[in-house]
Amino acid sequence: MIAAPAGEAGSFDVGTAGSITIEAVSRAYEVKSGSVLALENVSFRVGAGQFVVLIGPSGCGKSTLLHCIGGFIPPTSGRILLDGAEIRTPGPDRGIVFQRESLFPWMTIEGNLKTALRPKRIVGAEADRLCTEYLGAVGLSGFGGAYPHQLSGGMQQRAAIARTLIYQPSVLLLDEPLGALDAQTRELMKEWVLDIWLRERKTVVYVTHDLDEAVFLGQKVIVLTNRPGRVKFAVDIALAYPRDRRDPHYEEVREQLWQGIREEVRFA
Amino acid sequence: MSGTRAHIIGGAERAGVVRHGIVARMLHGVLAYYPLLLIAVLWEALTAAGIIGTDVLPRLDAVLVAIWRGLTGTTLLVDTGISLFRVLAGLAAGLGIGIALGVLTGLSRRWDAYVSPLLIGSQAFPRSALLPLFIVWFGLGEFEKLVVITSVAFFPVFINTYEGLKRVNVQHIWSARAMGYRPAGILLAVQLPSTLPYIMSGIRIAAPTSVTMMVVAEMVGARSGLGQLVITAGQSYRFPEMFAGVVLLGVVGLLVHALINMSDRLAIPWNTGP
Repeated sequence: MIAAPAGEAGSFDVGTAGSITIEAVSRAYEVKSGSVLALENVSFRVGAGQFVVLIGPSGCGKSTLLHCIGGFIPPTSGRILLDGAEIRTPGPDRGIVFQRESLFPWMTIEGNLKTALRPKRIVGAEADRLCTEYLGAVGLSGFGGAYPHQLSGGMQQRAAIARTLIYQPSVLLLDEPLGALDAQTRELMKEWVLDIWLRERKTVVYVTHDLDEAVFLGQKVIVLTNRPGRVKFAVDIALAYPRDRRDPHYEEVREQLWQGIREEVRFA
Repeated sequence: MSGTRAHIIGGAERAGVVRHGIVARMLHGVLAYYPLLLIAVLWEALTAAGIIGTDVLPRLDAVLVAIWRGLTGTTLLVDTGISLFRVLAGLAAGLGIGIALGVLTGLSRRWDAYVSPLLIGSQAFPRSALLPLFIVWFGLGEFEKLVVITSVAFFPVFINTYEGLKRVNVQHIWSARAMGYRPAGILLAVQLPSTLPYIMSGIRIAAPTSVTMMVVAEMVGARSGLGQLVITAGQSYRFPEMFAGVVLLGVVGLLVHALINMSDRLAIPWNTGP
C-alpha cells in the first residue's frame, strides 16, 4: 500500500517503506475535572518517502498526533497503520527527534549513536564505522567525543537526527525540531533538513508552528484546528526543491496557510 | 569568582582562580583553612595560658603528641583504618540496597505501595535506640556494625533513587523505546544513568549520618575503632588520647567526603559543565 507522493516531488525517488495511514484517530486526556479531547477524528495518509508537515496553533494536538504515530501513546479511538500494519508500540521503524534534549546528556555524541545501534546488535568496528559515517553526514566529524552540553543547539539537533538515522528507520518523526534554535540557525537548519531528506528519502512527519518551515519543506501541509485538533484542510505544494521564496506561488501558499491558521489562533 | 566562596572547606580548589599564578593559588588554598588555624591557635593559647584548665580541654600540643605516638605506635592508625573501613562498607551496602529498593519501588506501583510505608516508617525509630536489639540479634562483631551503619546509609539513597526515577525525561525513555530497547534495557541504558546524580547526592547525605552511627556502634560495643578508643580514653580520663580520637574521627569524615567527591567526578563527568 504505497501512496504516491502528492505534488511534484523533484528529482528524488520515493522509498518503498514508510507509508502511514491515520484512520479516524481521536485522543482524550484525563484531567481532574474530567477528560479533554486533544484530537478528534483525524484521518489522512502519508505516502512512503513523503515530507508531510503538521501545522496548527499551539495546543492543537499536533505533537500528540506525532506521539501516537510514534506508538508512545495510544489513540483513544481510531487506528494508525504503518505499511498496512497497525501501530501499537514504538519501534525502530520510526525514529523521533524532539524540540530539545533528545540526546542522552550522560554520554558523548558517539556514545549516543552507539546506544542507538546496540538493540540491532551492531557493536565494535561496524559501530565505529557507522558512527564516523553518520557524524560526517550531519557535519559533526570530530565531535564524537563531545558531550551534548558542549555543543550548540543546532549541533545538538543534528546529532539527534544522526542518532535516529543511524538505525535506519523508514519514518522520521520531527517534533518542532528547529523550535528551540535562534532565527539564523533555524534558517540554515531548514536547508539542512531538506538536504538530509532529499538524500535519505525517508518518510518525514514534521510538526511545527512556523509557516515558513511548512512552505519551505512540506510536500503536503496539514492544517489542524484549535483544540480538539481536527484536519482543517490539507495543501499539496507542487513547488520544486529547493524552493524560491520570491516565487509568487510560494507567497500564495504561505498566505493560504496563514489565513487558515489565523482563524484558529486565539489570543491568550 | 569572588574570594569569599573559597571560605567553604573544599571550595578552595573549586574557586580555582585561574587568572592568578600558582603562588597566589596556593596562598588562597591555605587561607581557605584559616578558620581551622584560628581555632588551633586559640586552643593552644588559651590552654597554655591556663585560662582553660586541662581538665576541661587538654593542650593542643599534648593532643598532637598523642596522635603522633598513636600513629607511630600503629594502634591509632589501625583504629582509624578500622573505623574508615566500617563506614565505607556500610555506605557501599547502603548504596546497593538503597538503589535496589529505589528501583523496585520507583518502577512498580505495587511494590511502592507494599514497601515504601515500611521503609519510611523504619526511619521514625532512632537507630541508636535499636542498638541493643541489633547486638542481641547480630552479636558484637563486624556484621552488627555493618547492619547498624547500613540501616541509616540506605535510606537517602533509596529516597533519591526513587525520586530520580520519577524525574527521568520521558523523551529519553521514548527515544530508547524507538531504538528498540525493552524495559530492562531502558533501566540500564537510560533510567539508571539519568538517576545517577540523584543517587550520588543520596550517598552524600548518607555519609555524615553513617559516620555518626559508626561512632555510636563502636562506643556501645566494640574492641576496636575510634569510637571505642574515644569512650575508653574518656572514661579513664586520658583526655589527650580522647581528643586525638575525636580529631581523627574528623579526618575520617573528611576522607569519606573526599572519596565521594572523587567518585562523583568519575561517575557523572557530564555534570561538571563546560
